[in-house]
Amino acid sequence: MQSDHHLLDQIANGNAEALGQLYDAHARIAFALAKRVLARHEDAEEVVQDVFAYVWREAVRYEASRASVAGWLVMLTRTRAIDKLRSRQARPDLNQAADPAPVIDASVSHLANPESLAVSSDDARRIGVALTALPVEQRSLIDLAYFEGLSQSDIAERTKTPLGTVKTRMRTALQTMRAAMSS
Amino acid sequence: MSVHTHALSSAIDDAIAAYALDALDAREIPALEQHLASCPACREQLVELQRVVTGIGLSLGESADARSADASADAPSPILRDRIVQAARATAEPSARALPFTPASSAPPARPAVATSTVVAPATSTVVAWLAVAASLVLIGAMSWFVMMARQQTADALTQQQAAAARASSLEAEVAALEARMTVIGASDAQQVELQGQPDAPGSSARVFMSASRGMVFTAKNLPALAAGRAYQLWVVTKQAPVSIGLLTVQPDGTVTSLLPLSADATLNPVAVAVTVEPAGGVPSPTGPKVLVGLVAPH
Repeated sequence: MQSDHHLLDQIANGNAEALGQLYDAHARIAFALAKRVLARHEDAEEVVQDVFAYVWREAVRYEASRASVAGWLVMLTRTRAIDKLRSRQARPDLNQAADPAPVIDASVSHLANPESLAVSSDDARRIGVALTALPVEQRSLIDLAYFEGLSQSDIAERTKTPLGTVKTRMRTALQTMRAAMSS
Repeated sequence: MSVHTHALSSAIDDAIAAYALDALDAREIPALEQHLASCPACREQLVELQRVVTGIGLSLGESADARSADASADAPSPILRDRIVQAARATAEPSARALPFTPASSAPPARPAVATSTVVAPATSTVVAWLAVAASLVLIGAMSWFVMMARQQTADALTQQQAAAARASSLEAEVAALEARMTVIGASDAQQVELQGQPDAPGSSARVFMSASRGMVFTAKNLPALAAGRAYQLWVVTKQAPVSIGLLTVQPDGTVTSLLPLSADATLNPVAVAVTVEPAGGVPSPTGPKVLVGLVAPH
């Protein structure tokens, strides 16, 4: 079992079999995430394929940052899955709309700092437990933001909740999970 | 957080949490990014909350049912792995491709399938019997060789066919990308901006077409190779703040051709387009040296 960074190093050197091994290690979680966002099996597979194609192209650059590979894959998968969700939702409008919104979400905020991707599996488990334990109104709001890519205004509109309440709940929810992580 | 008054602090905390989840409304992003650029405590808080967000995704792999046996029903189909690895092989750099191109490189060499039948019955001591055995061994050897060659050729043909399919789909993707770029350049509101190389990259130049409705086409040449851990980041500097457009993918020959989406903030009063050198992964506000700068002509 080779470490992710060792594999990434080999991928950066053009070793396609190492990409296969990285896939063996992480495809399941990437697929689970994409499936959760998109629901359709084939759409989720397309996203996973897209993510690993991106890893193949960008491994050289990413490898240099030495950041968490699992966190990177999760971030890439989520961004792409949500892009796909948006383009799927936009598709019925394409016939009449002259200027479709760009579907690529630059999502620079998450790329800002490699540390933001470094989460141990223990912490991830604690975060998962804390998420499940959140009051339902906080949890559904995290779901809408994380798995559906909705902005706070979208969420306020969708859930018919005042924007101020959405903001407070979102912060409280993240801080609760943050507390679980460091315990 | 002692630098902020209580009321301000809670508004900023709200915005940071939303930003970490990519849920902050677009109109609120520039103000927060400006604040983050000057407030290390808030940047630290953002990273902490982004780790929580990363953990939400990773937790999908940590739950008990994700690891249980019945989860295999909800896994990607087994051929997906092959598709990914084959596509990677087909697009490998020529130097890298030369090595693993034979499909058997990871699998053991094909064994002669009939070899197991070569167990020879106790031979009589007659020369004829030995000759017969020897002849059958030669025959079996030849057959095994044929089987091996046929397998190899089938595998080669398959690999070539897959490589051709991958090339065709990559050509299709190129045409689609070209068409998408033409849409921007041909947009009625497209503006052209020429970027000049700065002292850190005097030989570089770039050209931008930006359209509020269609996005931005960015092309550059002669961009110097960067040290490990650094990346080129593209910005539209508006009257309000620099807005990140994204990281640039530079080809080995120093050229860039990208189609990038423009957020509403980037199209509001743009005054310049610039490229800076930043830590790999990018930053919310420019910190590194400018390598390319071009002024946007006022309407």
